[in-house]
Amino acid sequence: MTINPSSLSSSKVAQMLGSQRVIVMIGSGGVGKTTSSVALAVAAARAGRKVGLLSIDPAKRLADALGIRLGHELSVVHIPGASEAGGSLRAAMLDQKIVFDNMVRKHAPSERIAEKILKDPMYIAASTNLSGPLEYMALARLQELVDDPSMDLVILDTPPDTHALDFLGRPNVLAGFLEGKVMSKILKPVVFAGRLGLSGIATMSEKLLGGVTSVTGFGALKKFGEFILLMQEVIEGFHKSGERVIEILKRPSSSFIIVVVPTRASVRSAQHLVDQLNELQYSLDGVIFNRALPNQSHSGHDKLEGTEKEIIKTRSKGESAVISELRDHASRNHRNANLWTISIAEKTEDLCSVDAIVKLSDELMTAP
Amino acid sequence: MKDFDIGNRQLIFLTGKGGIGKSLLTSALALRASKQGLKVQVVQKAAKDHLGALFGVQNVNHEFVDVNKSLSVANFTTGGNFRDFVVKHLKRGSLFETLASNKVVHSFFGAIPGFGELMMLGRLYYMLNLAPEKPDLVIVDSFASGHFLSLMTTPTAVLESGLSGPISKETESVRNFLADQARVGVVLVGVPEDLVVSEMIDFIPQIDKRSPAKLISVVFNRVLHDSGKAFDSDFLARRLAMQKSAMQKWRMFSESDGCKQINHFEVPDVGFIEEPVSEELVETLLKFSGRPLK
Repeated sequence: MTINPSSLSSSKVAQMLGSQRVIVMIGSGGVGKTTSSVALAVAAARAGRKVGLLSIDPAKRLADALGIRLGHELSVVHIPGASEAGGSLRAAMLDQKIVFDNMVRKHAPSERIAEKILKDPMYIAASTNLSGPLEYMALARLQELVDDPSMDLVILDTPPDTHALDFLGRPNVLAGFLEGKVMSKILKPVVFAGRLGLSGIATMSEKLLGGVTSVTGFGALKKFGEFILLMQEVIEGFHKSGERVIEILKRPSSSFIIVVVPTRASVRSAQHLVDQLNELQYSLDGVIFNRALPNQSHSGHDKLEGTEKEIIKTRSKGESAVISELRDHASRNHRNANLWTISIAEKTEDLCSVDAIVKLSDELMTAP
Repeated sequence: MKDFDIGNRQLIFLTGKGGIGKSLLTSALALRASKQGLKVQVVQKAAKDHLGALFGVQNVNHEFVDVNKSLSVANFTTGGNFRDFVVKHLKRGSLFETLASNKVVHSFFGAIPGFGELMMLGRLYYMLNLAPEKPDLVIVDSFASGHFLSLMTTPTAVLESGLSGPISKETESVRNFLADQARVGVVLVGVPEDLVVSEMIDFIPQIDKRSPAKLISVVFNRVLHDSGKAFDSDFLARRLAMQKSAMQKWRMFSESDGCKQINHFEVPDVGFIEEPVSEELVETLLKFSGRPLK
């Protein structure tokens, strides 16, 4: 690995990008997590590293601008200055529905059943927000990329909610409903000998299912049984990759970064993420505050008048307060003496272009 | 510009991209309505409560917590909604005991696609139609755009997938209720930024086509007041330029033939939101370009 001398900066972000193998970005929705992930990946590629980027939160316009196809295949992204430095960027934006459909095709016992499921209105409605297979795919891809010797650094952009850590900390989060093979024992006869009807269930001495059908009807039970058996294949794979991924993520060469905006609401959910990281024993290396009041605006609001003064003044005061609150919370609750925080000014232009992302990546690299 | 008026509607869903102020708007609307004497219940369904702090109350979970005499807030869970459905609605407490005490059955329901969404909608239906004490208004601090569509399309999906039993019967009532435009409406929240406005323009026809509940208005949050005089702050001046370009795009869309003349309202940028939301802040936010909320 070669590092572009011009990018050899002493900033903490530059150090992290130069030395780590895995970076996991976490944060709640709408804080610019995907944009920050892409910008860090671009910065690392321009500093000479061979970077893989996995996003579970596809930003369509950004993907279009960078030429990334939605799905689970990696696309090569051409970044000015990267190949000169010996670096490269390959990125995948995992689209929930595409990934889910592929899973169904792969795991369904027959093509006929796969088609039946894909056409099911319930499946269609639910497949956009049932995240299990997507997470499984993300973990499997993460592992592949980390194991790929031609890859120096893998950046993972996680789903946008406070559950983000669940799939890292408890890969069995979805396995609850399987309880080993219990579900399959109960449901297989229902699914594959559906004609037995309710009496069939009774002979299985599972009166419970009789209770279930009194709420959902028998057709529903059979339908969901099929679905769950299908999911079981997925979940078993998920289990296997989950354990190994946890081992990878706990290595010293893996870093977690929280992305947040300096508002009370966002900082509150970030504090929760700090606690979760601590509880699950993952490291926390840094915090990126996006959409912050630009530095030069913090001073000089005395010269402003009226609403203008009010907006800038309250933001300056409020943002400084929540930034230090989060910093305090993190240093109190997560023992990392080297925790860094950087603020990225709110942008007043469209960030969906290679040029804008390159500019942002420079800002991240040089932030004090 | 017409006033931002939810009419006599009883159920309002707020949706929009993450991080643009849905919760803030939810709390402002709820505080205003309760001050006007309505009995208001605010509902969210989130991994972690994010409304309590805005109302200044703690430990908000599935059971309603009182903010004041006429306002309460809850964070619904699928399990809680399911229990309420079986126990309160179907009046079969013993059945629930059998079902809920079994881990496998519990997990089974959790795994059914769309089950959480259906239970959520069913619970809202129950609150406004069947509960012994009905509120005047329920405001749902709802999901971000994509997930919101999943929520809204669930009843139709359930009905089309050929289910039977009580769930199917109830689902039909729920869907009819959501489609009652005199009682139910959707408010789309956005900010005057290019990317957000583009997403809203893509999203609106989807609501129209796929959701039984219809859009009643669009609210732009964090709007800078354009007095015509140039801003002294360079940062705000650049933001205003961006806002103008985004709003131009919005106007072109909202005045186009394909769009059914959607009203939009502007909530001023106040810089930084302190919690809990104060009465003065509600006044400022809901002034809507100088006109009070009806």
